[in-house]
Amino acid sequence: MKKRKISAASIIKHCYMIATIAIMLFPLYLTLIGSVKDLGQIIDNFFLPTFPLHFENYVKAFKYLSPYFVNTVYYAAQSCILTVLAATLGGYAFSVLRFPCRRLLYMIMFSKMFLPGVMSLVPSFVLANKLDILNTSFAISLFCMGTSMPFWVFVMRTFIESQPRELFESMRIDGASELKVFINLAMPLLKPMVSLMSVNVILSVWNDFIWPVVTLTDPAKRTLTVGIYKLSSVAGMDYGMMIAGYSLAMLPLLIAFFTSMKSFMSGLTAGAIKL
Amino acid sequence: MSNNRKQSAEKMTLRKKVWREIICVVLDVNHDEYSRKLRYNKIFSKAAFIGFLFALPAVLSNLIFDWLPMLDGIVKSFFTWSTKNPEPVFVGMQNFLNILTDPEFHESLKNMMFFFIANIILMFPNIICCVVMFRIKNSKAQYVYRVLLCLQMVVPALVFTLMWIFILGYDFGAINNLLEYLGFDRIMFLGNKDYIKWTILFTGIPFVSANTTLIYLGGLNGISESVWEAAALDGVGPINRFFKLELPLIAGQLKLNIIGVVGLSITSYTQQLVYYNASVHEGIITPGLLMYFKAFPNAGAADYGYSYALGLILFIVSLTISLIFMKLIKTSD
Repeated sequence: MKKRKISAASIIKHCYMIATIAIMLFPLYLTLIGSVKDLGQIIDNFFLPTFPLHFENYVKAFKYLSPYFVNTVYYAAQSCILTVLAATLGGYAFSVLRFPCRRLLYMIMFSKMFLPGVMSLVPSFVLANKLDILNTSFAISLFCMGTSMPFWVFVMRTFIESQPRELFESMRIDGASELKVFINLAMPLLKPMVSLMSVNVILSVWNDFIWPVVTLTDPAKRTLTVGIYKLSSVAGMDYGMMIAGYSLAMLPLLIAFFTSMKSFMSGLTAGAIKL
Repeated sequence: MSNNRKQSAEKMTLRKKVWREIICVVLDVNHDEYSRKLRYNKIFSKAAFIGFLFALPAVLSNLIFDWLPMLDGIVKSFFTWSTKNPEPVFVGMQNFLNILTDPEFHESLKNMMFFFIANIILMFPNIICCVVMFRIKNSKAQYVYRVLLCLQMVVPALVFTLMWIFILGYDFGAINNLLEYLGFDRIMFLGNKDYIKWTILFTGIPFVSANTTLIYLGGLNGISESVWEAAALDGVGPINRFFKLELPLIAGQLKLNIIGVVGLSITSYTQQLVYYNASVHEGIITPGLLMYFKAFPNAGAADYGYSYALGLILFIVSLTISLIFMKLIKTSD
């Protein structure tokens, strides 16, 4: 039998990591336990779980947040579909096909990746206003699509270029149209890229704050994040409901994370490379 | 005389070369095809049209929703207009003069410098976390830690901030309740303009970002195992190993990260916006937040010219700084 040697150094390392992660996730722990407390319990004992559990907090919070929930899912889905379609089509066109101005257009798009986005907020708002898409889902999805193109077309293009070119050629020689090659060959190949891209886009739309605050001023159109930001004005002293609302905003993503950890992890790592 | 002619001939070929490059790029042909006769019916064929059509959604959306606002931001920085008088009027450098002489802007620069320096110093916990994680040889444990770190990226940052407001609030906050219970005075973490900066910094505890840790970890994992084995044979202690090996080996990632931190310190203001209330205005306002409030004021009319011009200043400053750092990285590599 092999006995595992446990050195003092490795205990210190593990303790350090556990402490760091515990501190980092402490607010999440407080959110989860706070979401099932009533006002008295929150004031008396904020840091430890208390009984009885008040699940009605969630019912109350959900009543207020449910339209925002629907909105956010809708915006995220629309952004995701538009962005994925444009990026895969673009990546395919820029890698396998040839057309006038191809390299020029790619360079223009690609160079935007290195320019800071700080000054775009107000002009983007002015543009959305001119196009009359404020308070619509397009204010979120079209801008998400436009700004994420440089990075994701680059990723898709690099991925397709790493595939053997003969694959595409042989299918084309068989007389398949470009659209058919794209749907039957490129799309299945790009599947892993598409899944990590979707994770990235959905997370960014879900967690975005300033842009929806500015463009979705109509209370009925708010996203979930903006909804919980404004929660204190409707909740009054009902702190339990407020915390349950915060918890509702993060639970769907947490559940999705734990059920499809693999694609989430690779999606998040792709985000790390993006920097 | 002959020398002159030679020069002009060279000039001609240079001009021709440039011309060839331009045509090749625009028509998407290579030099080989160019030197033969250009076949326009192939260049503008149906296949090319389909290719163009495929690229169109990506290109068009990028041009309209990414490039256009940026260009608009540059041009209109020299104009002024308002909701009442929507026709832009050219004012030259007036917007920039207004900003540079505005005491509020000076105040915001001080706050920006505070966050800038603090964020640079606070890069170190991140590096230590990554090195510790790298040294944990148990790959299962490492994976678990990585997953837990990633939770921070999945949960909306706003949830963290709102929870901190709950913990630190003056008359309802848990920490203040605890202080009172222990017989101390309550502390205005969120309502005092001298404390607010420190409060915002503190809520970043433990100052580890999953994103950055993953970048460093990628750098360390890319290094060959023999380096560590040689170090172990030479009897390099854990602390020496950090300063002599690990830190220099992730220097590239570190510099990349500095660019990110510098850019964020100059341009980001989401957290400040969430913590904002009128009583801490002086202690929390940063140039980014000032740009936001000039366009989307809590009260009164928007000053779009000011906001656009300030955006342009921030854009130029962060672009310049990242270019300088890029240059530094290249020269030292």
